[in-house]
Amino acid sequence: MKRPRRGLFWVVYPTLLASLVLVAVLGAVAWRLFAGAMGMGGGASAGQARQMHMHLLGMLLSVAAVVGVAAYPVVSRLTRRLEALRLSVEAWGGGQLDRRARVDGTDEIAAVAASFNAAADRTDALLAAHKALLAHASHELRSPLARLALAAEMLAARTEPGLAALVRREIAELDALVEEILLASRLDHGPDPGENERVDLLALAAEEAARASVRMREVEADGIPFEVTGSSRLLRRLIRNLIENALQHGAPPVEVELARRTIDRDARIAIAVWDHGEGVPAALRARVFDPFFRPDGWSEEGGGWGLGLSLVRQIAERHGGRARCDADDGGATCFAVDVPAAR
Amino acid sequence: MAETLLIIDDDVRLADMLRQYLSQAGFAVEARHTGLAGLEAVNGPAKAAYDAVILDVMLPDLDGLEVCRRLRERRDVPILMLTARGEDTDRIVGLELGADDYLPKPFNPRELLARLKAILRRRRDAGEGAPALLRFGRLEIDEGSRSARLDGVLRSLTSYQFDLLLALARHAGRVMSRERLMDLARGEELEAFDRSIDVHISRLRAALEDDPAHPRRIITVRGAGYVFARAQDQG
Repeated sequence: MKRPRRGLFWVVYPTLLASLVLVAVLGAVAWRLFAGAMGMGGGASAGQARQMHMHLLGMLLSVAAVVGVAAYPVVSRLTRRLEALRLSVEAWGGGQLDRRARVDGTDEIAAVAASFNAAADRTDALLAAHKALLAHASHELRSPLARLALAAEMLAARTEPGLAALVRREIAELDALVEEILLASRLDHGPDPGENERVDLLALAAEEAARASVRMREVEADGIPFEVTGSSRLLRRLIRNLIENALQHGAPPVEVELARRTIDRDARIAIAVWDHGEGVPAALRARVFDPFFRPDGWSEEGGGWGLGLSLVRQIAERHGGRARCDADDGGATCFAVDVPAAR
Repeated sequence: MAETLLIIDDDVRLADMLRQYLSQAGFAVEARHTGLAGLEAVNGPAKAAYDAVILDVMLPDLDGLEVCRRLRERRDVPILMLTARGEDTDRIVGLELGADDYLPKPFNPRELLARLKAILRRRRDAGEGAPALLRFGRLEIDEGSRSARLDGVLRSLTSYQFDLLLALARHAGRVMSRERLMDLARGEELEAFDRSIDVHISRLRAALEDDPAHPRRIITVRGAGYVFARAQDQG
């Protein structure tokens, strides 16, 4: 956590002290001028007047000191409460959604804290409603899909095999689509269960490459496993989406490559999927990972909902990684992710 | 005599279609649409002896997991749970609660049939306390009987091949070097020594892969070894 700030304290409290001292000095000067003008009864000597003046100055300064000491806890408490409120708001903004501010008394700071709490409660309720909606949508969308899959299977025995395969493929695609949309929304809602497994990325990449019938470049075997910490389910999705993106928008040969990198003395594992398509113009490379991004002039024909690469980035960032798009001199395009290696 | 199944799923249409589908496969099928009705059917006075229960995890009155737990308390009937895809916790919990197997919705009906037959066969063969069955999509590996089945059909493997398969399958999702595999599958058979590990792997592939030329289960990782795929027969 950051060191608590006391900026406000250093503005308010010294200003208060300075103004008290100023008032004391001004008061003394005014008294002296005033007393001088009155003549002070003529009997009093200049020395007496001076002594009286010093007394007065001393008195005013001690009043200033007392007020200053008394004001210290008040000002300090005020700024500490503001600081506590700031920390609560920051923690909440940083993802601790159950964090609330303490409401002390009925002053303005308490009112701000109460307003913040009310806003946080409302956001919480909205998030909970959103989650419930997702859970229901997941169930409601899958029920007809399950029936459809069953119906297709029962029909398959009575129809031509090509048609049955077609129906099965479309059902699988719809299922995958539902899964991606739900996953994208779920990733915004806190951690997934089982996110702390040790995952062998090389095994995962080999499996997904075999599944999609694409080649895997030979790795430099050094006996150390290519392991990262995270969710194997999400990382599988990441690799699958990278390969599917290359197959859909790039051109063969598509190749998967895994390598170790050291970036800023940090051991990372980089996974790259290469293709030999037209590639992405340099100016657009930063944006290909945005949801629903489609460069001008790219056909709608190819399919791809526009969530695939944004999921890649979401999952990479969740694992402390980064996603990027690059090209080499030979005209090959590469979509790559690097994530910290497991310790 | 036909084996009797009970389907507990609030999706009436799906339950109806399942009943047709499973009847065609030779089962006698009944359906209930709430958790309580399901419990009543299994535990109730009628005490129909079901051979297996197909249980949806999402039910309107009772949580499917709760139904599973209560079924388990009273009766030792095999349970196959239907879950939502991607809900890993539910899957684990489902098995912890004593379900025999689970299948995410939407499921491939052939896979449902294969799994159903598998749990029924296991009950028949081994009764209670059957050793763990490793399952990867359509492939089952039974450590007890040292056999492997694809779509419920027994595949013939030599003892050394089975050891090798077990070594791979127990480390599914991990890249295994040739040396490590040889260590793990060290049998007493001479077979282990007269061929290289790659030959044994290609025989395993011939027995277990749909297309041995494009393996999906036992995958070569060039420069590192082999990996047994963790997610098989998906999509």
